[in-house]
Amino acid sequence: MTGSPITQHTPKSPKEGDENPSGEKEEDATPTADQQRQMEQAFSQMKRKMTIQEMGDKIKHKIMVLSGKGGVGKSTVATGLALSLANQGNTVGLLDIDITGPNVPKMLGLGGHRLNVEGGRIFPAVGQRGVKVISMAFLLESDDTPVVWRGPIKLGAIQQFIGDVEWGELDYLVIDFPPGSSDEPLTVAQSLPNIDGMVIVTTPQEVALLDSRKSVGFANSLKVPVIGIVENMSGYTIHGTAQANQTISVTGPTNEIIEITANEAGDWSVTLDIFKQGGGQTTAEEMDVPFLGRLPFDPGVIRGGDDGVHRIVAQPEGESAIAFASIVEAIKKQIKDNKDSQSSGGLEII
Amino acid sequence: MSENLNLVKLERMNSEMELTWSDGSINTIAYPTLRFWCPCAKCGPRRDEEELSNQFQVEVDSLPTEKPIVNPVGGYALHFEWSDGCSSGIFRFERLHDIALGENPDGGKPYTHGAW
Repeated sequence: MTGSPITQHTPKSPKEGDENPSGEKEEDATPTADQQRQMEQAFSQMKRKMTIQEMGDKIKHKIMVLSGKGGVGKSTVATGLALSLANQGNTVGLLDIDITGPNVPKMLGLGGHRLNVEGGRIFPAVGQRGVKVISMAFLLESDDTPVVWRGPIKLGAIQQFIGDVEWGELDYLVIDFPPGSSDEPLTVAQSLPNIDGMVIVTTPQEVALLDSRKSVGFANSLKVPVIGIVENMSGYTIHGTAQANQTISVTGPTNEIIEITANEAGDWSVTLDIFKQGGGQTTAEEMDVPFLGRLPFDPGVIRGGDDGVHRIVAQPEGESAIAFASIVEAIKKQIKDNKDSQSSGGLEII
Repeated sequence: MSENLNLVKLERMNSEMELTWSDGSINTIAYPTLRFWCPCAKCGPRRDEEELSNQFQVEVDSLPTEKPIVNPVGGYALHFEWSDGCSSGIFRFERLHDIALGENPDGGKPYTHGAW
């Protein structure tokens, strides 16, 4: 059953044999083991439901980060957004909902960490810049242990991650998803109240753009606002030196010749559009959703992910950190605009 | 139903519920009608064939009239809890709108397992 956590029982009608030898009807006051289990389940589900409601109030903003296609850098972007928000002084949580491929802890130098559970509550790990993190990776014996679960078991884990985690007061909760529009984002969108919206990550090539259009459609189906599209791996900038004002020829990704003139100091740079460029913005315009910005292809981000020190932490003034900060500003503005344009305060049930 | 149309108010009466939409329109759904159009995996196939469908209609019509408990599902759907009969279905707002207008919310297509 999808919805009701409460099992309702209809009393059985009395039948022959229900009475004891004295003719008095026996009172069956002691619940059976099965009834006891059902009552405990109902109680824990009700408690979780109430906690989720409370969580909706204690966490000011909830942002879902997803993409239609895998490998576009969702976890890197989600981690970068969380760190960038934390850099601005916000209290931030990062929920890694990628049950079968949890990578966030590795990127934040939290590999091998185990979660602290007290009184039935799960306490998140604390990573760089004070970002609180919950991930399936914390529950695995080793990084190589696969999670071989069918959908319903994943859903149970996700509901625990939402309802049983002691996040405390947060300014932002960033939620990182596996690619696609299936169980994981659907469960979160159904369970978590007052989601601010979805950030859709794409790369500029056509196949990723096609899938990001599906993500926009998915958000619309669930009536979750699209905060906007982020174009990741958008151009790789190479730098060099030459004589002052000298013109340099560089062969581009599609064998085109690009000519650049060095400056007075002899420095030159050129951005190569490895996966094309501008597709994210075009898609945003086509789908009538905001375009939040571009993140450059930065090998330092990959190294940082492997070393557990995100580029934003290693180089807070670097090109990637600046790009993330700009995207964070765009997200904050969009969340505010969406709130301002919401005409009503939600559904009234009488 | 337009993508921007939202359900803003639901009032449970004794035998039906009144729905108010973001465009100001108001309509009603009788509880047996709502229960007949349950989108769950058990109820859906029972509308696929005429004979089964008629049986199902008789069944839901004979259920006691009661106000359901209503739980919002995200910001896009509702779940109804009844003391008897099926409480499994998640009704998207678009589905409720179609039912309220007397349209077939499945678009005349037979139930497909796995479609939400």
